[in-house]
Amino acid sequence: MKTTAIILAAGEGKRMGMPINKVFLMVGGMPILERTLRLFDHHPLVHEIILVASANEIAMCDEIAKQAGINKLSAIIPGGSTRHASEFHGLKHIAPQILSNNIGIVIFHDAVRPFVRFAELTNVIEAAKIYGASVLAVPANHKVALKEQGDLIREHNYNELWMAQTPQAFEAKSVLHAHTLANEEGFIGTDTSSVMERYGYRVHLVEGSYINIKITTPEDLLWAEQLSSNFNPHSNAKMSGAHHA
Amino acid sequence: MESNITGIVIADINASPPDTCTKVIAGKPILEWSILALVKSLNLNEVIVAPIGDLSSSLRGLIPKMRAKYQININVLAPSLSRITALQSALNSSPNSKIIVIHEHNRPLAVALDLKALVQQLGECDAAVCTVPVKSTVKHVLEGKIHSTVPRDKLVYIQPPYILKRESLQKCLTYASSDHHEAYDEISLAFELGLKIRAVNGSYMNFAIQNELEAAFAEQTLAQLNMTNICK
Repeated sequence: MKTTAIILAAGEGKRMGMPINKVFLMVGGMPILERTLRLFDHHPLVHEIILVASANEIAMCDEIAKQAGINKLSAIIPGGSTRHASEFHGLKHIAPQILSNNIGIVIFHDAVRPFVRFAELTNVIEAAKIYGASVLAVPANHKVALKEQGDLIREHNYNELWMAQTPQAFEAKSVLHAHTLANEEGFIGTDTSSVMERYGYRVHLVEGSYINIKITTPEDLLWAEQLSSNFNPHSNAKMSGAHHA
Repeated sequence: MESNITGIVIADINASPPDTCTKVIAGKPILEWSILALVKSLNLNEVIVAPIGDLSSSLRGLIPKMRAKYQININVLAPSLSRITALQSALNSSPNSKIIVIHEHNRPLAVALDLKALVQQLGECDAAVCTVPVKSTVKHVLEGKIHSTVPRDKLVYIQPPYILKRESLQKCLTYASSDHHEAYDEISLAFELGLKIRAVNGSYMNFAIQNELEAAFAEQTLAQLNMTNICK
């Protein structure tokens, strides 16, 4: 059975403060989207890529993928109004293949995370094969508190908090089941893992790396530019998480 | 006008690579940038460098130069064993200060923050701290397993500098020493004591340098923020 990656690229540039979708911004001389697609295209355990994009950006995504020679890209489909809706659109597109047992594992990944490393992707896929659901995450390692009306109310024990990243990988029929239930109930998850958690699936934690940043703000873009000159997808070097706070 | 605000820079020599204080980025040692972060936007009566572990002699040699350059009294204390004892020593050495600003030696990019907001927000509160919203999806993990997803809309990261009223900080330190809470820092203690803590907007750029890549990034960022020409 195949492992299919659904790459989510239908975001906007609101937090970036730019009129352009973040995935088209250049990092190290290459569009962020291209960097991400290349990683999945070159990973031996990924068989197929589905790209979910804003309807009016499909042609632009297609152009980038063609120029980069992305071989595993099988479809670019329109996303929804939220990340959650885009996940469901991607799943619905491959549902016939899931139900006919052609796809065994589905990976969700944010297109704006171009610094995931091969070993992390491998670990997430392998964990999903064993446990049914897995998410890449890193320990919070900074003080986290609850803020209400300008005051800090309570400190969380940050030793018990992990920051979820993508990729997140799931046994295909399970994630389709959970998302279908969420759709019926009107539940909107902040990530795919939260949808699985809601319907009783145990999600296995896979430790990731702090360099797997999600590029959402101008500060992230500066950091990404710096990372791009040193990034080696085959590296396993540990990095601190200081830049997060 | 004479100030009643004292700046304390905790230099935890053991918590980061040994050369983090002395390493020069964008023309200044990292410690100097961190001191400058306080001096630049606050009217301080003095800055106390409170080391945890031994400061190198080369670093001690920098202090008189900084004193002359910034026209402010900068003192270095004897090494302490923990953050709590370092803070207590600093407090003891500055008996007339009413307000204490606490920063860390490896956060040079706080220089881009306007810390006046910390003082303004302190008001009737015990403490005010810099915060930034948590951007990631947060998982509550128990015994290595995901327990739940934590609603993140009200979650913030806390980052130095912190500002505390002297009596509030003393309460925290007394509580720490009486209950042997040496592992805590002053803000965790303030939470535990139920003190009122105000949040002030920080910056994602105000990160702690813990490796070479982050030092290089900090250098690049200081240049991009046009900070390299201030107080040359």
